[in-house]
Amino acid sequence: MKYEVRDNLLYTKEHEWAKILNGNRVLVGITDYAAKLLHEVVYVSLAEVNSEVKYMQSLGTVESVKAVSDIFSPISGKILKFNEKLAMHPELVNSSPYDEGWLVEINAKNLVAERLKLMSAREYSSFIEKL
Amino acid sequence: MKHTQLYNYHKEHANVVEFAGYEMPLWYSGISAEHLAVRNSCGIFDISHMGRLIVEGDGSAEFLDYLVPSSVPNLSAGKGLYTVLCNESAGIIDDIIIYRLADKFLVVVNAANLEKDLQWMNSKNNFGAIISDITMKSSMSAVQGPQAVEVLRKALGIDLSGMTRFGIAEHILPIGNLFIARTGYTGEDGFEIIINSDKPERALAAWNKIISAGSLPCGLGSRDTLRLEAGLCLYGQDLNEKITPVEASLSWVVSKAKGKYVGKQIIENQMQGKARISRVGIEMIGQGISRKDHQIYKESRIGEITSGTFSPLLKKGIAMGYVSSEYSSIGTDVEIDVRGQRVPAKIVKLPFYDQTLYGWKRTKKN
Repeated sequence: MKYEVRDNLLYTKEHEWAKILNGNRVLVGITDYAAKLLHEVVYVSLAEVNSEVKYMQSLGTVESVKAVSDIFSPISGKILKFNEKLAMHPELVNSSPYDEGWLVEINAKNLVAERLKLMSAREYSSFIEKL
Repeated sequence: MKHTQLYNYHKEHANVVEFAGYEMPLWYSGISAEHLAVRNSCGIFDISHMGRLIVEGDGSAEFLDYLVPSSVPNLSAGKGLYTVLCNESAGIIDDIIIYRLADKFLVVVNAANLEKDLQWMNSKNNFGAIISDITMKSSMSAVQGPQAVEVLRKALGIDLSGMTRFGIAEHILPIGNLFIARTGYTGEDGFEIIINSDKPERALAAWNKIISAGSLPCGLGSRDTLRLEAGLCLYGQDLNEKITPVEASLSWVVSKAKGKYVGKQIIENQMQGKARISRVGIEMIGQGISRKDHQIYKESRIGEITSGTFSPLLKKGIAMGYVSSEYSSIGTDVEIDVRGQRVPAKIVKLPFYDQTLYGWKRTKKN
């Protein structure tokens, strides 16, 4: 199977992506690889707005028909908002994992140091190739 | 790793996973799409991994009758029955279907239990029955859904509309020598077809014909969601050797007026209302999906989920589990611990869907 990896994003080994927006704002989602592996997302449960999340700790779960999977935060900070469309349309995580299927926006606390721990698109592509 | 005769097709068209020592299709077009095809029209599953045994010889009826709580001598030729193999403590070794053919029995068992069942049956065979394993010498598919009769009329040129539920017949067709039974694991009308041949091209020819006639190829993913929606048990999850048929809410397989059989004493005691726990259906009321091993609470813990999924038809979390029998009545409010959160749920009757609209007993078109 073919998996899309976007150039302008940073990636975790747990298959989350992070997109650095203006200032310290970071958009987070799961990768096409994760979405395809999960298959048919039916329910997304995310941490509440204003709650604090830590680097590589759970910020919620994504459930498919078959299984449940934790989502790990690529970055520490405070949740600014979550994707409200997913309550009615969880399938956006599958159909548009990098755009309409984004999960949360985080106000990052320690972006400069933590972004170095994430993989580039090229590193992530070769990481999933070996799986 | 073992392969069914249709493995090359699966490898090309499906996401393949390991199951019971076989590489099997998990899904082709998607679990929900396949699930809904079976509920609304027709789907086809490769179930060649299921174990197939022929039991024959003079003592075969008495032998099988001794192994299960159902009455085998009362089973007429051309009929099948769902039942369980129990151990001496009435724990379920496997759930099986016994079909009576003209001069022998066909026993279909779970893939993962085939070796265990064979050992058990051989150890109890003081009846002179002859047991042969035909699993690898045959293939088996399930054609399921309200359009199954029409699809098979078109694909094989035979009219199966007159068959009774759980009926079985032998057919000699250009495609090969088949057994066709009106059974399945989806809750829908449908047929299970055994082709008595080890030639993969025969299995593939039938498979392709049935797909062309209007059947969607379906994998183990939808097989699991369909059987759970229908309230049917999966061995290894909902059934095991520590659970009796009475506890598993399968008392209906027990024949009350029968002689000696393995596990009889315990089953009869429990039938008089002494089962500690009971299998129930559970529907989520709150957000979230219950999964296997989640704990069930009333004021305190009352049981455990054994199977849980998202229902593609009902669009909500459904599950089966065991609760202390005093809490097993339909309508009981419970809570499920879904990864640390207590989610409200309710004990409901099985199957989960409206039987006037879905399933083989449906009375209305939808």
